[in-house]
Amino acid sequence: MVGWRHLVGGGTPEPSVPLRLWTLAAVTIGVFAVAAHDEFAPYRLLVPALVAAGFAFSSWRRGRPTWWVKIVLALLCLQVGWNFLRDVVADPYHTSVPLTVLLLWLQTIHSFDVPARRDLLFSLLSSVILMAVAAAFALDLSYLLYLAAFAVAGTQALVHNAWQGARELLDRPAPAAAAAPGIPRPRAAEAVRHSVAWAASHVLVLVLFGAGVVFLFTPRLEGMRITSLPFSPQRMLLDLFAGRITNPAYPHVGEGGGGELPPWNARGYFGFSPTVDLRLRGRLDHTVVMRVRSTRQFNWRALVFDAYTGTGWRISDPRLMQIESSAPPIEVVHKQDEVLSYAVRTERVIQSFYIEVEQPNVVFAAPLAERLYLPTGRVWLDRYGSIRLPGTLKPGMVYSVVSRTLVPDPDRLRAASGEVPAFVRERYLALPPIPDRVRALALRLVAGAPTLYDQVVAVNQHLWTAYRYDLSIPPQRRPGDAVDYFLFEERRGYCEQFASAMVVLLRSAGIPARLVTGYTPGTLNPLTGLLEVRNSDAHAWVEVFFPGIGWVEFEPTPGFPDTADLGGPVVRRWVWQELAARVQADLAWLASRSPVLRRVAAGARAAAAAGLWPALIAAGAVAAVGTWRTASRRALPAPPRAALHEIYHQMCAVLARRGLRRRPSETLEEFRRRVEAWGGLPEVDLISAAVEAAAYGGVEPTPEAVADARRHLGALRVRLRRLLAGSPTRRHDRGR
Amino acid sequence: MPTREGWAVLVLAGAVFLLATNLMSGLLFVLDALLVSLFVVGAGSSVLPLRRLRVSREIPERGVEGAALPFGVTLAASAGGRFLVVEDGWPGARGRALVEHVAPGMPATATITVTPPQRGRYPVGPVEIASRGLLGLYHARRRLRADGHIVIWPQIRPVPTQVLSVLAPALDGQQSAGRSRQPDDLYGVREYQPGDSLARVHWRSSARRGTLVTREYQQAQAPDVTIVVDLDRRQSPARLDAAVRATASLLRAARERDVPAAVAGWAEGPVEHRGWEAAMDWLAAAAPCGPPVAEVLPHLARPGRALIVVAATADGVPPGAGVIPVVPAADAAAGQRPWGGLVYTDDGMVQAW
Repeated sequence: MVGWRHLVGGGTPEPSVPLRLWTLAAVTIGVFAVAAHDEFAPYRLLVPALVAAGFAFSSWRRGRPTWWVKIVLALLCLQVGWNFLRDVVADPYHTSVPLTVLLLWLQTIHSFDVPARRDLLFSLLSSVILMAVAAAFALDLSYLLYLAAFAVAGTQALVHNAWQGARELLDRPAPAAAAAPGIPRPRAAEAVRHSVAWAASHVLVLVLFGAGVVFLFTPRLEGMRITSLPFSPQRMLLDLFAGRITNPAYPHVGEGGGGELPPWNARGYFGFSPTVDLRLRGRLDHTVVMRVRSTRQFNWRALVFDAYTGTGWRISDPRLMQIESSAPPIEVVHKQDEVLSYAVRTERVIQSFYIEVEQPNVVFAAPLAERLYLPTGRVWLDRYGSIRLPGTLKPGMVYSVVSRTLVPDPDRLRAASGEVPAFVRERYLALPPIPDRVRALALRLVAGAPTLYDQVVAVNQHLWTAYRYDLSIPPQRRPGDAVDYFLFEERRGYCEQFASAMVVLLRSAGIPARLVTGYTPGTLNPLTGLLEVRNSDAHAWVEVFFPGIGWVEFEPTPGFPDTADLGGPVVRRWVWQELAARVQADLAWLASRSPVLRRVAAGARAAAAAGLWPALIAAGAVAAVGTWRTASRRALPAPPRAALHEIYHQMCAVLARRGLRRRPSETLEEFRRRVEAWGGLPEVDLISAAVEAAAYGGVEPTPEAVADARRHLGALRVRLRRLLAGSPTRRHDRGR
Repeated sequence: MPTREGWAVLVLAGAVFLLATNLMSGLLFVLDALLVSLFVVGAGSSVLPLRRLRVSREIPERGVEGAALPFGVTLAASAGGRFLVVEDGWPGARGRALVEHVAPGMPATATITVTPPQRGRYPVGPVEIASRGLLGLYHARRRLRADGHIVIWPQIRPVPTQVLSVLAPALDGQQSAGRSRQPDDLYGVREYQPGDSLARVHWRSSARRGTLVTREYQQAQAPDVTIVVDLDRRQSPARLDAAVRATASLLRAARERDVPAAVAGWAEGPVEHRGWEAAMDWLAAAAPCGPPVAEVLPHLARPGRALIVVAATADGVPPGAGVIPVVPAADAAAGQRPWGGLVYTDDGMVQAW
């Protein structure tokens, strides 16, 4: 019976309006954070409005029987539960969206029955779940705005909850105590509200600062152990191109290549077309084109080009293999040229791509893509392991790929031996007529290198050291072979020229190689944990065939990370390491501009080498806390009595500096009389009288009295300065 | 110890950490850091203020059972503190107060109201300070020694007029021997003490001094009314409590009539206390440790002395001149009609039977 009453009664009604309002704010912010994502756009205004109405209703109905409300809410819960099951059954591969919608509706329904403090707390905790859901969906830093607002509302709600909790503790009888009537109640609500708000604002600063420190020292463990990878629903990708490569930035570049040079487009990379024309010149902009969540960082490969034309590259084999799957994922079995690779590709890497700017209809992924979670059930695979989609990748689209990756191990590559299959030799050693000096250079570079790997490295090193990466090169001034012009005339260029040169040199030396285009890993955003890939990250590099191993990536362009350095974790174990690395990089950049900064950078590097960064960050944190505490103490408006005492202490300090030190046993009056005997200082009389009246006269000092005392203290300082400036002793001191 | 809310935050932080690790979502790590920071700051704001806390208190020396007592507890925290719950008292009678804010270096005072349920002498303390911090996520508690003692007097009940009329022969017989009510016999004034009659308050002096002042009259002759409480060791504690309350009530009634009666009983021998505070202090600690009151009375009987005997049983008081028995009402109801017709109820109220 008691339980039933408790159930229908809704618990002890919570009277605190601030607690209710701040909880509502936290929940509303959580809802807005979730609804900021396009999938939940229909709920953006509806749910917050209903939540607010629910809170108002709960507040109005608190303390009254709500059994009929509970029945209605239970029925609504059943309805939203049914809707959730229906949506999940309809699309079992995208459960996160219906699950979030279910959460939003449950939160809305719950808002209509929050009469008691524990209900409000439950709402507050569920708003944390909403924020977690929003974080899982968020791709950029706009989420931090919601989080900051949530931190404010959540902290305020918790502080008010703590205050109400302390009051409730008072209402409970003390252990083994009899009924104790007349327990003193806390002071007036208005004063308390200010006090609690003051506490909340100060604790918020600490919480935010602490969150920063905790974030820096939270370990990042290997993740992505999930089985359900994110990808957009299939309806998003329309079947338009039937496997033909279409680059939105260069829509008219056909598979035949050649012809008139298309105009430069800074908003898209020309290497994602069926052909690559080395005569094109220009810089790409820095627009973020996609965000990548991955366990390890690799170059995100798009297309492979096998045929060098003297002015560019094309894909010589147009044949495609269509792969279809009625349910995700699409399993890709690589054949033909990639067949030898499986033996050494043991590590699986999961990547999720979030498209921001329209991209060609190719799958960007670390090679070799094995399992695809795509917004389509049909793809085309070419003989080079590149995967083509039915349509271009649209903004907002998401896909995931599981790849079997290869991290090149020099020892293993040196030990690579055996015959290169004929079909590889035939295709990847082919060259058009090229000048003899190119072939001569290639042979000179590989001469003396004992193994295939050493030969490749010799060519790679030559390109790194003898040529300069330059995006501002002028157009080719004479007709002829583009690689020959780069190697012997211009001697500088961009990644396509470096990659082309390496492939041509290797093929000239009898080593099978091919050109690859795609994106470099991008820049890690340590806050989101996502790699931000920009237009300017579009890149071309080289794959070299090693017998028994398969195709291995090499980086021919100086200034780009060696492919041997790729394959590491995207996120360092600790964020402070990321921060330290960035600071070091910035210092290095600054050091190149000033000798003083060079020394600072050297010191920072030494600190990093000694592992002192954590200590430095911790010391900085302690200093910041100390500064904050000092500042907050100064900022604390002292009550008049305390302020008066402080002024008296300052007066004593001023007098002590002049040799008039108050003895511990001396009363205020005794000290005043001694000062009077020393010389007339009326300010001391006035301040002493005010303090004495406040301390012993039962007179509560007014702010005006404090202001007067402060003015007297200033006057005393001036008087003493004037007095002592005229004294011979003081002048003598100055002379010394 | 984390509070319920603290555990919830910790569990959520753990879950968010797992989710963040699994999804490799930096923003979830930020949210996780916020939750961890909330708990750490909450725990810090709960524990740290208690570590450097000093406490002093002012407690009254005496109280009366059932009447609220104010304990003034002053807290000084070098690190400051908020939302501190202060608890003080003694086992069986503890009270709490809430201190909203103790600023660093600025003591804050809280008044705890303790209602003593039972007469006696009690060691008071320790003072317990509890804090859930600013965020209510961690419950910290600290006990601070602050020794003290308090005497709780028995509850005093009003004595009805009928009772006073029964007692009148004894009290009036002594009236001329007591302190005179005549203004001519005014001896002086002294500070008001609990139990003093309001009729004896010297209002003019009180107004002048700002505190209650009581008139004292010239003592003409030593009083000789003694209220004997039966401390028979065979009686139940509840009955003794009732008897003690009845004794205190009679003592107060006599005092209000300016009859300075004595209280007598047994503590390893017959004892007698004259003077209000001494008598009440003794009653506060009176325990059933003596022989039946019939054996005590011969030691206390004097010529011309009136003995008002608050007995444990109706048949425990031998008849005699100058003895007025006051017996338990329960016994009287059982048919044993006492002499003098005075009884006391289980809550110590004296009534005429």
